[in-house]
Amino acid sequence: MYSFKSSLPGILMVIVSLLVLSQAVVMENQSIIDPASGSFFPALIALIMLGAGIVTIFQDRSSTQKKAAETAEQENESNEADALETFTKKDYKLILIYFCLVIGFVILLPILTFFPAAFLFLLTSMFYLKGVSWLLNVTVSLATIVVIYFLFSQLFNIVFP
Amino acid sequence: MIKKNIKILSLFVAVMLTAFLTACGNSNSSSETDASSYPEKDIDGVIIWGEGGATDNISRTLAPLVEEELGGSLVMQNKEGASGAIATQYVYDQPADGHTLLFGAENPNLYQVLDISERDYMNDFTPISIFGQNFGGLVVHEDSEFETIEDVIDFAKENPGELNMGYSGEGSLPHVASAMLEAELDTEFNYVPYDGDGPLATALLGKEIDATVLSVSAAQEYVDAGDFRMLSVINDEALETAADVPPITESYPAFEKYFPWGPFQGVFVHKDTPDSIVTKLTDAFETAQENEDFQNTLESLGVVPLNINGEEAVEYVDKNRSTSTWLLHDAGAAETSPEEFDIPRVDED
Amino acid sequence: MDILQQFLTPFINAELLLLVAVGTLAGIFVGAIPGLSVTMAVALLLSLTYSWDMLPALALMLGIYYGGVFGGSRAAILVNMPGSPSSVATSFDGFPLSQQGEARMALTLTTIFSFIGGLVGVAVLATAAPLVSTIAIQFGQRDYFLLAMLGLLLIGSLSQGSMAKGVFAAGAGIILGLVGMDSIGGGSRFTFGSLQLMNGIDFVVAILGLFGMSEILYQLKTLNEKGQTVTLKKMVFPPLRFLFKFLPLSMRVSIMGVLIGALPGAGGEIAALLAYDHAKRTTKNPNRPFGKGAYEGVIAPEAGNNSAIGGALIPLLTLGIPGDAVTAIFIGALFIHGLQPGPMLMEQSGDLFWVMVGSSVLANIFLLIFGLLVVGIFIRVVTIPKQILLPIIAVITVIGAYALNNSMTDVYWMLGFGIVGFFMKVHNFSVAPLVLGLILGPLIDTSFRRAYMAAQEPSTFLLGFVNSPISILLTLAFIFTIFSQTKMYSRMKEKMKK
Repeated sequence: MYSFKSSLPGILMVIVSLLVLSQAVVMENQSIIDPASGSFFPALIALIMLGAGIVTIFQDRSSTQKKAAETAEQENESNEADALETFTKKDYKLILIYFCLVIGFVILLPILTFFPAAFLFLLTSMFYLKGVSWLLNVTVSLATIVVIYFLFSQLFNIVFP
Repeated sequence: MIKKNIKILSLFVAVMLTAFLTACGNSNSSSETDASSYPEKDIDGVIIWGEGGATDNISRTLAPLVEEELGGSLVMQNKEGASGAIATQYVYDQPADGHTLLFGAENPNLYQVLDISERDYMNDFTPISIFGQNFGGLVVHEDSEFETIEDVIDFAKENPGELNMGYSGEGSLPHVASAMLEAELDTEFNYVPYDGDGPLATALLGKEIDATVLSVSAAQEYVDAGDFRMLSVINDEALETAADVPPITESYPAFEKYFPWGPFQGVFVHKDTPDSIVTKLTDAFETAQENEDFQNTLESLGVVPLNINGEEAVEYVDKNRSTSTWLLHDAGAAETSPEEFDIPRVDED
Repeated sequence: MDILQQFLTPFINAELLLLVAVGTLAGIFVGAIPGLSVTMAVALLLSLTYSWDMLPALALMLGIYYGGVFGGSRAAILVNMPGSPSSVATSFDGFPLSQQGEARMALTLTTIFSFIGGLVGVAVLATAAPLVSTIAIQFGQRDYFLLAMLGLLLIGSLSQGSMAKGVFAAGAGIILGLVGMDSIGGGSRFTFGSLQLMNGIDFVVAILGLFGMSEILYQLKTLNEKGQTVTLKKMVFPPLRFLFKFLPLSMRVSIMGVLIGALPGAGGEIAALLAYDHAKRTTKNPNRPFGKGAYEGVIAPEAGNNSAIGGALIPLLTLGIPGDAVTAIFIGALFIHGLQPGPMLMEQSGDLFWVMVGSSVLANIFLLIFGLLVVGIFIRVVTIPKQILLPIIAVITVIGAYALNNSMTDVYWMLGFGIVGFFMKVHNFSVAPLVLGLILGPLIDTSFRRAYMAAQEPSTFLLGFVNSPISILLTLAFIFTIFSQTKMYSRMKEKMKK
């Protein structure tokens, strides 16, 4: 079980490269064996990616075996483990919800137009992240929107959705 | 914990749905426009090529002049990609109220046969004005052994597939022009594609390619500097700007039937745009183009001014489409036969 | 005498002086805001300055050009969001520096060495333009292929930890870079029949997602932890010895930058990447390891990309061939003002050349002045509480991704890249190789295929690698770089020392 989990990145890499390879093979009007055609190079890259995936599987496996063997000496691996462990479920939840907020903003953008959508997003996200007073929140939100609007729309003629 | 999350999420979805529905309700009610109040808001000018190209230069210099005529503001933006098909589709998807204009070149004429997009000038758009036209010239490097167009053709006939002919993508001027040669004269080139006139000129300077077709104005500079030799102009008569270069019809009269043909620039609107608005736009563009500075800009870009509109413009675009699509088809470069889209051959109409 | 007078025109003429200054300052801010690009700014100026005289218009555009390329590094250093592809390399070490409280140091150092790089670029433009453009023309497709492959070897130094993962990420980047219409065959690749995908994936969109959005998500974690806020080190100006210490390096990468900038098919982004690579290979004892905040790691790419501007002006003024998107608009500007950019330009209007050189020098001087002056403003970004900063950056990334091509699809791509980038960061996958692949992939693809097509036969294609001097040089450099990464090489070096 443990070894499967550790070789997961490698397996994922192999799957992705196989997908790319299959897309390169079925590409229309291209011949995969002709170096001048559009699918030769992507196929080559896919093969290299595949190789990298396989190597990773073996590397991860041997490194976990080593790890299991010499649990006392973990210095090299501990960095990686640290980065993973410091992300608690709570962190992930915060990040997930915040990301949903951003997606919501993007979806609302063409519907509500820029001004209300951005204002709503800035208000809620600052409120959600806590620690900012209401007054500051509203001022910053308004100021940001006005500056962005002026820069992008007035100065750069970008037509907002 | 999870329950709370679901609550938040469902609330969020509900808010979005309501917002979406209200927005839809609003947009349905405002569509009727008439010419007297036009333009009601900023007009979007969508350019099908990126910043810095000929289409971009012409459109951006013309825009302020048209603004004066229309009395509204014309906001220009570039939407490049897929030979301009992205911009063409975008303009087609906007309401047909004349507030979105397509500043395009000849490319959309070929979308159907090259299988790039289903949009097309003739079926989906109304031309407001065709600004002008370019001409192509066959060029070789000054050190080249080819002295005349016949030398090039004869070499290509004797050594099929050995002459490196540079071109800038499917459906480009060099591509169609070479297809013309292949169709009429039965030559065979080895095509090497580049990304536009600049890279083509560079490749010819570095002798990576043996010959190519460049727009006459671009090529003339290198000819004057003694780098290139222009062997022929792809037209039925010599040009003022390159008077000593013979037209291709002088060597091969069979080409007569294709002309006038060449890359062009123009402005288009969705075909369902009310006639009154089309007339208003047409008048504005016609007057704007008479500006002397604009004429000078066209001249320095090597574009021969046309300033045509209405039926004349439709015919011009139609003929260009027939020539290009059938040429590509005959050269075997088209994905689908022009016949499928009811495009007549040039010599048949 | 004439030349000197033309060269000094922008210094003496108050209008030109002012316009260069305004342009440079505006450029710095435009470059620093992700989503606003120099190309967009210069294109807008094209219609704005339509009725102006030519020289004032060009002066303003040149100012924006220099300021904008430089400004891109501000966002790269402060918020890990390179405003343009040419400042991607700056973020590798610039952001770690700013996280360690040395933002002021990084900003000041890059300003000084951008100035030096810019001057080297102008100097080469002024003295050796015809020579450099002759070399640039001889640069064939095969040579572009080799150059891009050399850049790709950076994977070795960028993938922290596992090399295989780095190679995989670079491969994925290349594939993503190839999505869209194939500029050679005309067919579409990896588009799944979608018209929006025909346009390909803009790499600035990818950068906004991979660097910007993912960083926002990553930073949320440390949001409420006390003691995590960056304390700024008090240092105002870097010690003078730094200037002398880094001068040789900056000169070397600047010369490299001009040459690469002068190539019509390569620009500042490749110059900056190769400069970073060069710095990493040649610096024996950096203050910190590369990737963790080495000074050399910010100096080299910034000197490189600014000197590439002088390089890009060379083919523009000598041959009328644009070196990048911005110089393509300059060509348009020359046309509009009644000039014929081409090989005859220098002969017909030689005064233009020297005024451009003069304006470039002036723009660099203003870049140094403003660059140093506004450090104080930019530095505040770091001190803004994250609760406020992160939402603002989120809005800018979204609008920026939209503004690039006026497309909502790009915004969704940016979000996708943001998630991918976030998980890559969590799992210690460096995102740099992915971006590297995205930038270099299309160049490798097209140059390789063009070279192969022009050669007509496989044997001629292979012979080509040893046929021209430039190709031989690049082939040798490529082989040596690979060799120098092997264990055999380090063993040999050990022996040599003994």
